[in-house]
Amino acid sequence: MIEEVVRTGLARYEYRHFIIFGAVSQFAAMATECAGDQGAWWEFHDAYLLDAQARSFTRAGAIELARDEGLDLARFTQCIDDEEHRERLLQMQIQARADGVSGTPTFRINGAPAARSLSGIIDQVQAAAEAAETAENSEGG
Amino acid sequence: MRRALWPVLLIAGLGLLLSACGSGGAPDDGDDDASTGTVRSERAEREASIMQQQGQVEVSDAAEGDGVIDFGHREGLPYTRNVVGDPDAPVLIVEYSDFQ
Repeated sequence: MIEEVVRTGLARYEYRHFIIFGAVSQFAAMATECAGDQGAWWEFHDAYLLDAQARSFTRAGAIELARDEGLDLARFTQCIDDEEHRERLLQMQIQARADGVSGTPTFRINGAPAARSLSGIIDQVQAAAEAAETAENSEGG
Repeated sequence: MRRALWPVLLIAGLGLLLSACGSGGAPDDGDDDASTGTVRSERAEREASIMQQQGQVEVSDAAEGDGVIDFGHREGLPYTRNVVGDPDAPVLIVEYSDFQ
């Protein structure tokens, strides 16, 4: 999907946390947001997705990950301990509800429910891009 | 008049005291305390519900840590925190997900 619609400039992709597995998930989301403060959001995102043994889902594991990424550990630790992004995570949860999300993963394309298959999503993105272009042209005269 | 205000002030004071007890406490050590997580989760649910009722539904895009991704299958793509791709792209794909 990244290759077909993001790299081609048709779409941008946004990941939002939708926490359904409780405290451990919430902690991982918080750690990712804290890493994002230091420019390592995607590094943490990928590390968590690939962490089959869930070693980084603990405080110690997240700090180790932060060390591996060369982050400022004092700043990172304070961020996770103080739950500095609690409000941001809450807003994502609220927006998910507003979007009718009940499970994961759930995709939305310009706010509309996405097709189930990759080819369907690509078609949908192309159609949405064409619609946006048409609307822009008609607005321009 | 001043006497009439006493019950109001007393109730307000008790409310503040209860609120402080409910939201205070030492920071969690983050080591996967499931029971604490449940309490937090329930509190977050209540707050989400209240905010939703108040129409405060909005996700802000923090513009921290933007640049170009230099690893993996997104290499070379611009990003702003949790958003990747051309910021002027006409279509927005949102994925709601959980790491577990």
